[in-house]
Formats: sequence, C-alpha cells, structure tokens
Amino acid sequence: MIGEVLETARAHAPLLLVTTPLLAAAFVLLAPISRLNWAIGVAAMAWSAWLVLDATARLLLAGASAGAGASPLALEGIGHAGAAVLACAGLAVMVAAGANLRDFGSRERPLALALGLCVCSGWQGAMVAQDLLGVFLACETAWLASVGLAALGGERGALNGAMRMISAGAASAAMFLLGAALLMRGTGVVRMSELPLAQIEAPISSAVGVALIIVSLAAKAGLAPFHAWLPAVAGRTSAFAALTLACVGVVGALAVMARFAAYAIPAPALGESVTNVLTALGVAGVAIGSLQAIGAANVRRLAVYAGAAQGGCVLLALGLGSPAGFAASLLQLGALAAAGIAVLGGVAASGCKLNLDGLDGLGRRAPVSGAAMLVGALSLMGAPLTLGFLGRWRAIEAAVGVDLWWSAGAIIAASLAAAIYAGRLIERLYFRRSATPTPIQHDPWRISIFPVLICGALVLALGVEPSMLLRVAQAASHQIAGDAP
Amino acid sequence: MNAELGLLAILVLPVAQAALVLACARPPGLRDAAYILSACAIAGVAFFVFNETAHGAQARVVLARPLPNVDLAFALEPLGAMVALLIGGLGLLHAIHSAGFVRATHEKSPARLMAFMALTSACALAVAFSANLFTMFVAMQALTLAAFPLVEHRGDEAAGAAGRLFLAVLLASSIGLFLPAMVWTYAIAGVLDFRPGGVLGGLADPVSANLLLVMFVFGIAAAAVPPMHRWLMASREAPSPALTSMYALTVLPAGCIGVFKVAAFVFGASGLADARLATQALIVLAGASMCVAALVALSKQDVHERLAYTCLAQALAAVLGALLTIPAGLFASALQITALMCSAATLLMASGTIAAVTGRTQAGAYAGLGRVMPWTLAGFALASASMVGMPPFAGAWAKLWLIASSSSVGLVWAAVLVGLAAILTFAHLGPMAANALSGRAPPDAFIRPDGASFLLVAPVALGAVATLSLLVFASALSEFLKPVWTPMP
Amino acid sequence: MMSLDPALLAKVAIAASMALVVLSVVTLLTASNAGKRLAGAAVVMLGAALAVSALRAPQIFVSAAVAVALAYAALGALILIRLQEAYGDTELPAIDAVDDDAEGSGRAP
Repeated sequence: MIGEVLETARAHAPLLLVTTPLLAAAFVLLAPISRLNWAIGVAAMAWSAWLVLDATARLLLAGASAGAGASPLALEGIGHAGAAVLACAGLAVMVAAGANLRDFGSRERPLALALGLCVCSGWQGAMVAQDLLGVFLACETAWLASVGLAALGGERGALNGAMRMISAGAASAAMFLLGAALLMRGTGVVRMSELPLAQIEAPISSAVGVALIIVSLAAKAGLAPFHAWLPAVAGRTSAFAALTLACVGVVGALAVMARFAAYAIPAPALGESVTNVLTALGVAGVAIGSLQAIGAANVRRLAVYAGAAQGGCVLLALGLGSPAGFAASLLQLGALAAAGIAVLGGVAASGCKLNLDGLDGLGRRAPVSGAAMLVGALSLMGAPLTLGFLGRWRAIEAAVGVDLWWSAGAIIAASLAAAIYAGRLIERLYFRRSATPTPIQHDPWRISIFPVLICGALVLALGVEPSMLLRVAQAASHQIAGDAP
Repeated sequence: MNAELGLLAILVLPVAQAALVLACARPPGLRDAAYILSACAIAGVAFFVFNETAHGAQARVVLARPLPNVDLAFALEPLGAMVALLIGGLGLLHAIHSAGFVRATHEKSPARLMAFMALTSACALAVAFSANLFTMFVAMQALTLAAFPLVEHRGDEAAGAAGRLFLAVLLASSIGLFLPAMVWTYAIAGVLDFRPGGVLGGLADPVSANLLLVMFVFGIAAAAVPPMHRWLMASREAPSPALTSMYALTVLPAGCIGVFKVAAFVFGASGLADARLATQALIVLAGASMCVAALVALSKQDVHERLAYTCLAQALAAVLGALLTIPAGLFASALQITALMCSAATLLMASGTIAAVTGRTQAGAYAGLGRVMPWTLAGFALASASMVGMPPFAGAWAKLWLIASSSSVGLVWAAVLVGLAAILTFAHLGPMAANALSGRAPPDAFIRPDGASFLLVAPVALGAVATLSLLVFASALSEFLKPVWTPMP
Repeated sequence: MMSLDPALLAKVAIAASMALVVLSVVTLLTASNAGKRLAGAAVVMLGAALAVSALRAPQIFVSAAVAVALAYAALGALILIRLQEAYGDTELPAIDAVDDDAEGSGRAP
C-alpha cells in the first residue's frame, strides 16, 4: 500500500513539488495552532525535499532518462538540480521559521507561513514548468508571495521595501512577458526544451527576447544593477522574510536563469547573445555587489549584497556556456543557499542587533549561532574545504578550460572582495568585544537552530567530500548542456 | 608507531596542544605544564619522524578528496622532516620561554596566546608535509587565520589595524595569486602533486611558466618577497612570544618552505629554465631587497622592528637559493631556512627576555646588559653571529653555499648581493651585541626584583647552541635532503 | 478610400505598446510617490499585455498578463494603504528619510 503510494508520488513528483506547499499553505491558513501550522509547513517541505532528492538519486545519479514528453511539468537536468537545492533550502527555512515567527503577531503567523510556502511552491514550479508561460506564472506567484511576506511583520520600513518590490516586480514581469513574446515570435516555440532545435526566423528579436527574460530574472534575483529593492527589504523586514527571500527567492531566480540559459545557449543564433548578457550581468553583479557588501553596515544587507556578488559569479559560470560552467554554477547555487542560511539564520537565531557592531563578540555570547555564521562567512569567502571554495574552483577551472581568463579573473576578484567583507564579519564575531552587548534571546524552540547548524555542517562536509555533489552537478549539466554545440 | 602514524601524530599533536592549553587555562601552573609537556611530546614525535625518514620510510596520509584528482594529503619527505625537527625542537624551547614570558609580564589571555601559537605550529607543519599544491594552499590559509589572532592579541586599535593589514596581505595574495596559479598549473599539468623534478617541466610555454612563477612567489606572501612583506612589519604589534613563533617557527619559515617546494617540486630545474626571465627577475628582487632590508634595519632603534627586517633579509636569502635552479641552490636554501629558524628564534627569545625583565626595547638601551644578563646576551651575540654568517654558526654554511651556488650558475652579482647583505647584517647586529657585552652595566637594569627566571634564560642559551648544529650536521643534512633534488625515475 | 497595410499596423501597435512599457517602466522606477509607482506598475503590465497581443503570442499570455497586473495592483494598493497608515505619507523620499533616521538611531530591526 505504502509502496504504491510512494510509486504514484514518484511518478508525479513534479506536480507534487508545486502542489504540496500550496496545499500546506491552505491548511496553515485554516489551522488555529501556531505550532501545528509550523509542523504542517515543515512536513510539506520535508516531503518536497524527499521527492526531489529521491528523484535525484533515481534519475540523475542512476543516469535514467526522465523525458518530459508533452507534460507541462517535468524534472530534468538543471531544473532538477535547482529544484533539489530549492527544496532543501525551503525545508531549512521552514524549520528555522519555528523561532523566526516571533517577529509576527499571532494573527499574522499563519499568513506568513502560508506565504513562505507559496514562495517555495512558486520557485519549485518554475524549476519544473516546461513552457515559458508556466515559468512566468510560477515566478510571479513566488514573487507576489514574497512581496506579501516582506510587507508582513518587521517594522514599518518593511512596507517601504515591499513597495519597491512591487515596482521591481512589475517591471520584471513586463520584461519577461515581452521577452517571451519576442522569443516565440522569432522561434515559434513555447516549450523551452524545443529551443535548442528551433528554426530561428528572427534572430535579432529572439536575442532581444532572451535578453529581456534574463534581465527580468536578474531583477528578481536582486542582481546588481537591478537590485534597488533588495537592501530596503533585507534591512527592514522580518527575519523569516529575509531568510526566505535571500535563500529561496534569490536562489530560485538564479536557478531559473540557469535553467533558461541551459536551453537557450545551445539554440543556434542565440547562444552568443545569451552568454554575452549573462557575462555582462555577472561582471556587474560581482563588481557592484562586492563593493556594496564591503561598505555595508547592516549584517543582513551585507549578506544579501554578498549574495548578489555570488550571484554574479553564478552568471559568470553560466556565461561560459560549457557543461563545466553549468556544473560550477549549480555548485555555487548550493553554496550560496547554504551560506545564506548559515549567516542569516545565525543572525536570526541569536537575535542580535542588525548593525555590524551588534555582532561584536557574538561568537562568545552565542557560540552555536556564531559557529554557523563563521562557516557561512568562510564559504562566502571561498575558504578551502568549504562548499564555496568548491564552487569557485570549478568555475575558475571551467573558465580556464574555455580560455576565458578574464572571467576567471572576475571570479577571483569576487573572492578577494569576499575575503574583506567576510573577514570583517569573522573579526567582529570573534575578535571584538561589544561595548553594549545585546542580550541573546534563548528561544524555547531550540530545534530551529538545527537547520542553521546543519547547513553549516553541510558547507564543510560537502567541501571536504564533494564527490556525490559533483556527480549530481555534472549529470544535471550534461542532461541539457551536454548536447551544446 | 609506524611512519604513517608518526606523520599523523606530528600534525595532530599541536592541535591537541592548543585544545589542552585552553582546557587547562587555570591555574597557570597546570596551563604551563600542559603546554610544555605537549611541546615535549611534539619534539619527541618530530625526532621519530625525522629518524624514520632518515631510514627511508615513506608515508602518505590522505584526509579527503575535495576535488577530482586532488587530495588533501600529507607526505613524509626529507624537507618536511627537517622542518618538523626544527619546529619540534625549537618549539619546545619556545614553549618554555613563552611560559616564562607570560608569567613575567602578566600577558593577558595567556592560554589563548599559547593555543594560537600551537595552532600556527600545526599549520606550519602542514605546509611542510603537504603532498600537493592544494594541501599547501589550505595549510597556508589556515596558517594565516591561526596567526591573525596573535597579531590582534593585544586588542587595542593599533593591534586591530595591524591584524587587518596582516590578514589583507596574506589572504589577498593567496586568493588573488596563489589560487589562480594553482588552477592554471592544474589546467596545464593535470595534477597538483609535488614531485622531485617538478610537474611543469616541458609542459608550460615560456610565457605561462614565467607568469606562473611570479604568481606563486608573490602568492606565497608568507615568504615576504617585497612588496608582500608588509604583513611582517604589521605583525610587530604581536606580543614577543607570538613574534618568535611567527618569524622564527611558523609563518615566515612556512613561506620560505612554500617557495622552496614550488621551485623544487612544481617547477623543477626544467620548469625554472622555461621561466628564465621571471627567475632572474625574482633573484634580482630577492637579492636587492635582502640588502635593502638589512640597510633599513640599521635605521631602526626598536629591537623588534630591527629583528623583523633582519628576518626578512634572511628569508629572502632562502628564496634566492630556491630559485637558483640547481641542487646546490636548493641545499643552500634548506640550510638558510635552518639557520633562519635557529638564529631568529634565539634572537627573538633573547629580546623577549630582555624586554620582560628590563623593559628595554630600544637597541641603544642594550649597552652593558651583558654584564647583568650574561647568558641571555651571550645567546643574543651567538645568534647575531649566525645571522651575519660568521663561521662556525649555522648561518655561515648557508651563506657559503648560497655564494658558491650563485657563482656556479654564473650569477656572480647574486653572490655579491649575498655578501653585501651579510656585511649590512653585521652592521646592524654586531655593534648592538658588542655594546651589550662590553658596555658598562646599567645601574637599575631590572624592572623585576628577581631578574630573569630560568624559564626565560635557558631557552635562549639552548637556542644559541642550536645555531652550532650545522657545524656538525651540514654534511649529513646534505645526504638526508638528497631525494629533494633527485628527480624520480 | 485609403487602406492601411496590416503589417504596418502591427508594427505600429508593437512600437506603441513597447513605448508604453518603456515609459511606464521609467515612471515606475523614478516616481517619488508610491501611488504613482503603483499606477506605473499597472500601466506597465497593461503595456506588456498589449505588446504580447501585438506580437501575436498565444491569447493565454495576454490573459496571464492581465491576471498578474490585477494581482500587482491589488497587492500594491494594500501596501499603499498601509504605508499611508504607518507613515502618514506616500512620498517615498520622505519615507526613506524616516527609515534612515530610525535605522541610525538603532530602532529599526
């Protein structure tokens, strides 16, 4: 009986990845008990994570083919790996929500959890949707839920951030729609998987369409220079919203970009435009994100700027257009999500002030959160034996492999800048004493620190023994990009 | 215990020492006993590892495989064993001295200081035993992060700024130059392993070889090749025992070992021949900087500042030897590393003892101290003589080999620079030691009523004895190190 | 009677809708009043729907654009009302100044 249910679930994994969090969101809105709501959310994300990891083991690692056929939803290649990262990040964020929900009033808590689940569902949907319309609707669902989540709780400054998200989101949605329409007009295809074989009648309008879609997603990923909404939201919204936006939202948008690029780059007459746009955005992201992270005085803003810089590295790796580049970008996505959860989750769990001086001596006052933040910062820095280093190494190796030395140089420059801002974080955590120490909140829900710790441990464990991760990234990138000309 | 276990033990013991010291932070007696006894254990294991290597034992410990075809691995080889013996032996003296120093000066957070010194020793040993470039990179990064708290130990604004500069120079060079050079090497050779004779020979085109050599030498900023030497000056903010650790036992020697390993095991003679232009330019830079550093030391009155420049000059001599592309040059470099570690440890411990018991930190204030602190100042004088290169001390053999090997490859000017640097070193250390020994005894020398304790004096005297070691062991060391420059069949 | 070339008409429609999108994006990103930004958001989506239609994309895209535009308008209106309640103002520079002050004095989260 259970076996049959599981087999049915496996067969419909893409659909369940979208619907499970949505259903859970509905239950959460109905259930009256806050802890029950949290348990429902965690269970839904755990189920999603199991589904996608099981599919990864069966399809990616075993090399079995999961052809999408005519189905509107399917798990394949980059989307598969991206969905795995997102589901795991979503699970971690949902578990951590146990403590982070204290920022909301009792009436807002179910809504916040439901919106968080919608964000996860939306980005997971964008990972499995096969046509451009599906991707558009999934992204917009996730974005609108993110806006709602950002506006809830926190201080009134969160509303200001949410309004900026409305502006950025509407511009981004319009660009996506225009891009999709131009691409369809130029290529005649709606399903992304048909792009590599499409007969391109209007290469220029198709290229413009592709560029618009990528820029639209860059705005949703908070990549410089389209990131005006990010600092306002990150610095002022609730801890749960910041964690969800930075670790699911940003990572989700980047993963969608990777997935779209994987289909568009092999398309004749489009590949060069795609790589150029990705590379230009990547360089801008690295430069602006790094500079802003260095100058940031608020720890959450520092983390999201650092994320923007890391996102730039992801795009640089994608812009290489090679399977090795795609594999490197997936590794960097995983590293970004894990480091984000470790740093932002650590900040949230310790309840410290968000100004950088609030971190002074935190390593002693809150050793567990401090340790998680230390590992996250080391990974952002690209310190050896962390997941961040692995991603950087593979990206540089891939860049050198296609003789794009300047791309490798930009990734190294990002690491250098990361050494400054992450080093500053570490210095404050362990080598300064606070003049006015903030009392550390000891939340009764100690379980909520687990995902933060687990992410920290994963950053180290996968940095030391990454063979499984490398196999997944390689398999995912080869399923689509392996056929690139 | 077999060689493999010995290798693992020598890497793990300093980490255990750090943990033990932190666990036994109070009372001070227990802390010091834990620190010194674990240093004894490290010295014992270092001797065992050295002995095993001398008897031809081979061992390789793989901890992880974080990248395809690249292990986090350590291998037993003669250079590593030699450095382990030096770190183990001198580390024991330094542990005793540190215990005495923190008691005499009531240094704040002594357990933390000792723990991080132990961790830097672990990282320096990891550099010495690293089996490939990746492991060396990891060990160098860890060494930087472990040494940073030593620079920042005093916790004031100046120490904070010095710590940030220290971290910026070492990390930036490591990430900005070493890392890309390593990836490039991997792209060319397909491996990162250290092999006698090198892995790049004949594979890299001249442009790549030249660029790679420059990136490696500057990327290993711990070797302090200018302009990467700024960390050395910044680290003067550290307490005296930490300075001894960084200049004489861990960071600076690790940098020299790093350059040595890159020259011998990554480039080899043929690889360095491909990078002829960069090799020559770097030899010019190292030679000229060596003289300039010795000259600048003359102008410094602060003893620690002066010794920092002295150590810089000696480290650059080791780099120069490694770049000479011939076995004699590598041997000269190995001797120079030995001399640097013995002499610098003795000098820095002596200056630490003087500062702790007399409060004197200026070169001019040393006059006549030899009358009241004969053992310490005798040790200081012997170590100075070794730094200068006077026979029969360790430095003399190193300088002799450097001059001979430079001349044998036709770089007579390099030999002249080595000689000039020795004269300049004499100019800034000789008169200071002579004044200290021959001047009139100062009337109120001690700030402590009981003078210098045994813990502060004995390590200096024994360190001075160590500078005589090469008088006996130079020939045996040549035989011991032969596998380093003998290419594998 | 003069007849218009349908191809030309289509091009004009595309150009007009694109211009609408560009103009409203500029408004959206530069307007200092939150209400104007919200209006810009609605117009940009409307322009996008028109452009999609002019580009002969499947009709469902147009429907999707309209639905998303409505969602943005509704959510944006809610946030606008709460902004007005919380700050007593909808001018974004003034709101930013209040937030910056609050952050400077350490009251912000």
